[in-house]
Parts: sequence; C-alpha cells; structure tokens
Amino acid sequence: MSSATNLPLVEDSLTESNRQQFLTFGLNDEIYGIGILQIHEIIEYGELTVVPMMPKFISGVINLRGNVVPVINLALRFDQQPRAIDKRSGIIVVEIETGEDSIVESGIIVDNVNEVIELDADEIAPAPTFGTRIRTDFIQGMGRVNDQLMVLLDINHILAISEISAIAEAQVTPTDGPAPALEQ
Amino acid sequence: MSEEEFLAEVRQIFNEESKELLEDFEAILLKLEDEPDSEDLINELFRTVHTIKGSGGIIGYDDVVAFTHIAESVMGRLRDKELALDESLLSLLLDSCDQTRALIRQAVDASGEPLADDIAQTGADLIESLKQYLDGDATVDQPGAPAENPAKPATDNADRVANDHWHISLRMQPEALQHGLDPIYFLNYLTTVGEIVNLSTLAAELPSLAEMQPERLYLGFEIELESSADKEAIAAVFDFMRGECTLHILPPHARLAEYRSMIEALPEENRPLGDILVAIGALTAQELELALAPKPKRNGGEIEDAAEPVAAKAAPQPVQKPDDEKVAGAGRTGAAAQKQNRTKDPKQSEHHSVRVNSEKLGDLINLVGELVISSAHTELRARQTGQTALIETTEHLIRLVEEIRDATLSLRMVQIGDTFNRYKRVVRDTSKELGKKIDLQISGGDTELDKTVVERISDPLMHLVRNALDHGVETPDQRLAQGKPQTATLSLEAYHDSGSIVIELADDGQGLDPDVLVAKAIENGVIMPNQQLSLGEIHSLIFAPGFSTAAEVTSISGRSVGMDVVNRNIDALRGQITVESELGVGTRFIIRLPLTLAIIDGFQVQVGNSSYVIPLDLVDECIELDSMQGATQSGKYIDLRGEVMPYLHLADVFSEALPDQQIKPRNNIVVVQWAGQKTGLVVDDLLGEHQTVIKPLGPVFKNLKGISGATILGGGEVAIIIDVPALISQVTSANPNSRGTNSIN
Amino acid sequence: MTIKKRRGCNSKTGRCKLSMAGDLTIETVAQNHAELAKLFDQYRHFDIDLAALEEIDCSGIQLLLALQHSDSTADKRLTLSSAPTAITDAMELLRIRQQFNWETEK
Repeated sequence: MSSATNLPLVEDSLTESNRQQFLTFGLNDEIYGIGILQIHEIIEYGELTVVPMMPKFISGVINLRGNVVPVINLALRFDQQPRAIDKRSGIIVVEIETGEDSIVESGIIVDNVNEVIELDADEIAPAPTFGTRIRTDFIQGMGRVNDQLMVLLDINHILAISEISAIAEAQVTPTDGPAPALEQ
Repeated sequence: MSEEEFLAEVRQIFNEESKELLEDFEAILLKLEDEPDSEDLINELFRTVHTIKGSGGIIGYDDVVAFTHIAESVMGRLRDKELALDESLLSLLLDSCDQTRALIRQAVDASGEPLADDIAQTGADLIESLKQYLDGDATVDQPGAPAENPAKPATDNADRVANDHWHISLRMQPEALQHGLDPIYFLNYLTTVGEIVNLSTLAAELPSLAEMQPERLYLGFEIELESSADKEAIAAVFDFMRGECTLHILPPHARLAEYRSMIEALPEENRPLGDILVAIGALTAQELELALAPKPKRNGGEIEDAAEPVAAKAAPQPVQKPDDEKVAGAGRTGAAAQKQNRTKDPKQSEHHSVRVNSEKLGDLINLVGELVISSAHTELRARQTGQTALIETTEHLIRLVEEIRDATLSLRMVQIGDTFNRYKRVVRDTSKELGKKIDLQISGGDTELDKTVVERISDPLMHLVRNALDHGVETPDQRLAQGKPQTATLSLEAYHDSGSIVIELADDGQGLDPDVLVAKAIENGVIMPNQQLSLGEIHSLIFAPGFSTAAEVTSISGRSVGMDVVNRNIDALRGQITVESELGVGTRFIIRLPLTLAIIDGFQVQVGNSSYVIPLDLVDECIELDSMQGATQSGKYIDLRGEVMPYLHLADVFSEALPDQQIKPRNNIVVVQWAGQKTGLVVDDLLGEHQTVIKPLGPVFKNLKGISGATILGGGEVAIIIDVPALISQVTSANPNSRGTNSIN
Repeated sequence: MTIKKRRGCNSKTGRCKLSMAGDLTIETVAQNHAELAKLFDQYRHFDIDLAALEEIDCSGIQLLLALQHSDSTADKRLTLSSAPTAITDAMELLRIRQQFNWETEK
C-alpha cells in the first residue's frame, strides 16, 4: 500500500480537533510517536511465552488480565537489530483495527517509554515517500517537536493482522513439508 | 427501558421463538407424512401454528397473522377431521411453513416496508390453494383427496366422554405453600362456583415423614365439578396463582383426546393416574383404555359413523376454543414427562426451560474460566505453604469449581437431533426434485454437544447431505439395474467417542470412483500425473481446494461451496473429516468434533523451556522412552507392545532448545490417540493434569498449524495448547511408510 | 402449635400418646417436624388427640398424611381422635378423612 492512502487519515482526525496527542518512545536511539487514542496501556516487560513456528518478530504472548495477547518486537518488525531487554524496556499495548470491524489488542516491545506530547495540525507533515529508515507505509506522518522531526507510526499498518498471519504461514510451510527430524 | 427498546426485545424473542416453532412445524408435518392419522400430531401442529399466529399478533406482524390465520383454519378442519391429510395438502402445508418463515424474516429484517413482490405473490397463491380446503365440500371436490375420505371423518359423540361434570386437574408448584398459596383455600373458593362432586387428593409424591420438607407442597388434585358456570368463571378461581400451577379444565363431555393429552401432560404415571380418574368418575374404565391405547385407530371401528354428514357438526366448535388454548399451554410441558409405554423421540422431551441470552451465557462461561484459572492459582499457592488444612480446603474448593465448570458447560450443550431433523425436509424435497427415492435414517439425535459447535457444523453437514443426494445416490432405475433396492438409504448418526463427538453420514450409493478422482485431480493440478497414492489418499482428494467431482453443475450442490470449504469449516472447529468409500457400494463421511470450545481437561508437559498442554481426552498413556530403547534408535517408530507406533519430538517440531532445569530431557513419550491413530509425542517432562481454559490465540495466529490455542497456568503464565489431530496428520502424511497404520478401513 | 406427650407413653410397648394444640400450619409444622420425626423413630403406635387444634393448612395435612402413610410401610400405627370441625372440614374437602384411623369411642 502506498503512503498516499494514509494522508486522509491524518487529515480526518485533525479536522475534529486541531491538537492531537502522541505517546513518544525510544527504539534503537530514535524517537517515535503513536497516537494516544490507540494506546490501551503500558506495562513492564515481563515473561513471554514463545509461540513456536511463528516469525521472529512475534516475540510471544502474554497474559493480560486473562486475555492472551500477542507481543511484537518492533525493532525486528522494522528489520533492525533489537537492543537487549533491560529494566527500561516496556510493552505498549495498542488496539488494532482488523478488517472485520473488530479490535484486537497487541503489545509492542520498545526500549523505553518517554512522554505524551501534543501536536498542532500544522506541526504534522505528511510522510516522505523515501529516505526513511522504515517502510513508508508504517508512517502516518512526521511530527515536528522543537525543530526536530519525529516519525509518527501508523500502528494499524505495522501490526496488520492479515499481513502478519500470512508471513507466519509462509514461515511455517517449509517446516511443514518435510517430516519432523528423524531419530537417528 | 423505553417502549421502543422493549418492543425490539420482544421482537427478538419472537424471532428466536418462531424459528424453533417453525422447525417444530416442519418436523411435525414430516412425521405426519408417515402417520397421517395421528391425532396427537395434528393437535400439536395446530397448537404450533396457533402460537406463531398469537405471538405474531402481539407484536403486530400483520402479514404473518393474516397468513397463518388461513393455515390455522385449515389445520383446525384437519383436527376436527373435516379434512383428510393427503399428499397434496401436506406439500401445501410445507410450503405454507416456508412462507411463514419468509414473512417473519421480512417482518424482522424490514419491518414496516411493503412485502417483496415474490413473497406477496407466493402468499397469494398459497392462500388461494388453502382456501379451497376451507370450502365446506372441499373434501369431496379436492382432486387429491381420494375415495377413502368418507371413512375418515368421525362424529362428535364418538370420541366424547360420558362424564357430565367439569373436570379440573390442579398441580401447584412445590413452592406454593411458601408463597402463601394453599390449595385448601382455592378448593374452598371453588365451591362458590359449583359443587365439588368428587375429588381425589394425589399423595403419590409425598415422601416419608423424615424426608418430607414441611414447606413443600407434594399434593395434587383431580376434581369433578358440577357447575353451570362457564370455563372462564371456573378458571378465574385460580387466577390468583396463575403461573404457579398447572391447571387443566375440561368441560362436561370433553373429547377423549383432551383427556389423553391431559394424562400425558401430568407428571404422574399414566396408569395409576388413569385409575384415579376412573375412581372419581371422570372417565369410565372403557374410556380410560381408549385414552391410554398407544395409538388411536382411525379407520377401523368408526366406519359406522361415516354415514353421518360432515357438515352436521358446527355448533360446539366456538365453545371449544378456550380449551385449545389451555391445552396448548400444557402441551409443551406435557411432552416433558417421558411416559412409560410410549417411546417418544428425543425432540419431544423438552423440559421446562428458561430462555437465556447466549451472550450472557458466554459471559458466564468466561467468568467460570477465570474462576478455574484463579482456583488453580490458589491451589498452587496453598501447596507452597505446606499447611495441610489450607491445602485440604483448597482441594475442596477445586472440586466445587470443577463441578461448577461442568454444570456451566452443560448449559451450552444441546442435542444434535434438531439439526438432524432439519435435513429431513431437504431429503424429502431434493429427492422429489431429482426423482430419486431416499430413506433418511437418523440415530443418536440425543447426543449432546456445544451449541456453538452445533451451529457451525449445520451448514457443512447440509452440504454433505445435499452432495450425497445429488452425487452419491443413483436414480431408482440405475439402482435396480445394479441389483440394489430402489430406495436408497442415507444414514445420519451421532455418537460420543473418547472426548469427541462423531457424526457419520453414510449412503449406499455409487461410491467414489478412484479413477475419476485421480483424473480430475491431475486435470486441476491438484496432484502430479505420476504421483502414487493410496486409496485413502485418493478419496481424500475431494477435500483438496478447487476440486469438484460434479460432472455437471446442478442446482443441488454443484454450484456453491466445494468439499474443501466443508473441510475448512470443520478444521476451524478443531475437528476432522475423513471419507471411506467403495465403488458401487457407498460412501461414508466421518466427522470428529471436540465436545466443547471453552474448557477442557489438559495434560501439561515440559518441552524445552516452555509448558505445553495436551487435551487429556486424547492422551492414552505415558511411557518412558528408555524402556523403548531397542526400537527407538532405528527410526521414527517404536514398538508399543507389538504395535508399530510413529512418534515425533515436540522439541524439534516447535524448535525448542534443551531445558535449563536439571531434568533428564527427552525422556517421556505421551501416547495420544485421535480417530484410532496412535502417535507418540516425545517431551522433556510430564507436569500433570491441568484445568485448561481455552483462550483463543487471536487472528495473528490463525494460520498456525499444530497449535489450537493457549491457556493460562496457575502462576499466570501462558501455555500453548497442542493441536493433536493436526500433529498426527502431519506425522502420518509425512511418512509414506505409515500408510499401513493409517489405512482407511 | 404445641405438641404434648400425654401420660401413657411407653417405650417398651412402643405406644406414644400425643396431643396437638393451636395451629397445624406451615410455620408450626416446620418448627415441629424434626421433633416429630424423632418421636416417630422411637415409637410404633401413635394416638394423637387433635381436640385442641384450631387451624390446619395443607402443610399440616401433609404431615398427617405422611404419618399415616408410614402406617403400612414402616409397621407403625396412627390413630386420631377428637378432631374439631375446622380440621374435619379440611379433610372432607380433600376427601382424605376416611384414610385415617379414628378412635371410635369418642
């Protein structure tokens, strides 16, 4: 999907209210922002249960008050080398819209959670079509904070269920075909 | 609640209720096809339509009311034996059932809008045809009604009882006394409208002194009342406890059939109750015998009445009406009591029931799931303290929670019979359309399974049934030529088998032709031309995506979804479908489904650094790998007491590293069994049983094979549930040598 | 309701003489049920004087019926006496008066 399709999304949300809030967090020495409306909660990094046969960027699942919620390693999703988990690491639980009108909770692992900022409509620029470190369709727009540009993420695209489950299937297939290792 | 919301809720209730009523309607009609003389069925039919009409009227579905009114009138004439039920009327009534369904759907979906043209047209045609049966001499004129008709109508007096008193049967709720309702008071009050000629206090339910609960009411009453009051006045005596009692009021010289349905509706056994009725003079001994006779004989003894003209009876009818309503109220509860000398089908054995919103039930089941998890947590903590008293208490708690769990889950269990019955109509209609003769045999309709599963299996099953009708079964001519009986048999069977439910659909039709299947599969690129397949694998080709054996597209099943969709639907339910077939002899589909989708008993194992849960129902035994040493090293099979069993290392399948802990790794084999196929799963450690609340893994993991969900352990961590059927099919399909053990029998 | 043991009770012969007074209704039956059941275990033959009873309801009727039913099943014997009209009327209404043994001389 091209970045152009994301533009109306930004504008739509801005027409309602001129100011938008974003949660900023750090990942591999870069600062990103996610629209606050999509964020469910922030939890400490805890023990994950690995789900076998899934792509690497799906770190596993956690128990979130009785619900089993998948957790995604954002760095791996961006094809970057993840930093080691430390005590500043956190999991941001976001709500993703799936195609079927339903909302799915999902966690993303980040290096550290910073603060909530407020941006005016004119402080948000459309995503550049090239030259970014991550896939352009992952970007909702560029926020200008203190004359620095910050990537505002389009979380629905990053965690697009259909794409992820398709990747998962593609990864599984090779191990699916040949028989499980022989006992020799 | 606003009036609008209230109405919406009432509509919703009506919508659900009418769905069931229409199913009943259809089922009764189909049963009538086999026993057209059954008075019980015709009464039931009348009541069903009457109820639909009544509730339709309450919420203002005028189209529904207008149409059902005509249908009801025809049935009224049937009930009064002014009409005989023949093939053409039956078909007409079946069509009327469909029309009612369409009208209700229209009313629910597009309330207030004018009727769609096609529905209106069908309605007008049907009303036209129905009206023919309402003309006085329809029985004579109707082309479909042959000469046997004059023998059918029975006259008034023939089946009316001699008793010239009102008969009142009163059963109050056991709690009535606590609610301050004393039968003595009502009986005294009854003497104000008439004279109690005779009465019997039924104390059969009264336990011994030690066992009786003083506040419970155990007594029932059968009363003969001499009164000139009308029925309403008599019923008004009991008005005060409406809803707290079962009341039957039969007028003087009531029909024997009314007594019969009353006897059946009452909780006491038929025979002793009947004797009491005789004792108090409600029935004569002879009448009782007739009432208790298993089936009313129509054609025999009443021929002498035949001469009497049908039109002669008209006057008593209007008076009759309120009775019908009373009986209708009792009818549903009545069928509840399974009666001794009549084997009723499971469909009729509906007990008193409460309608509950399925969402509420879902919430309850979720809560019980939380309860199960948290009690497991509590038990874990209690064990850590080492305090015996605390551990014992929690163990007791766990047992209670298990019982609550089972009871809650059973709330969602329904019998599959209703779903099966739906196919009767399909078989009837399509066999007519195709000019085939097919006998549908249903067994195991009382097998229970989760409502969600039932709902989701119904469509795939329908497709299989249609497929069997369309492709499986030959035409009568073809069958005769092959030396088979003209009428084909289609059997639908359900039963429980080790933690799963099995549904089998078998026909004695032409079977699957392996040559045709292979040719088709090659043509569609499903397999390579030179691929060698076992017979079982060839048969399984029909489940491959994009494969269809229909040589030509027919209106029955060839056009829409294929068997691959059926397969996928069943897969989504964590079930499995297999097929067995023999060319020229028949085909059998075997569907295995889990009993529930919510909570299971699990067996927890350690693989690498993770815990996994295997459904306990599928676990056969656990053995040490050491004891199998000799066989182990040679390949992927071990010798299990003379049986060759394939096995796999879960650690390899799930890419788990060796565990950190000090356990002797890869040491245990969990033997699992699914659909008769045993497989060994090598794990690092056995951790014991675990109450497993199945948590869906979410859409991200929907394409994952070999894993069916997740669960939360006592400590709060998540464990993955292993999808044993998927693993087994993986291990068997990956092993060409395993075919010997995987052959289709 | 009050239940009194009258003179003449004899655990050897199994004879138990009782008199009931007041209301034999749902509340009092509930209160006295356990006591009666205990007596019922101890003795075989019961004479119950109903003269002082004022009112009876269906619960009371059930109690008497339950006692009466044990007649045959548990080899017990129940004899009633001196029922006031309030009681006999109720029994007549339910057509159960004849089911009981009545002390004849009174």
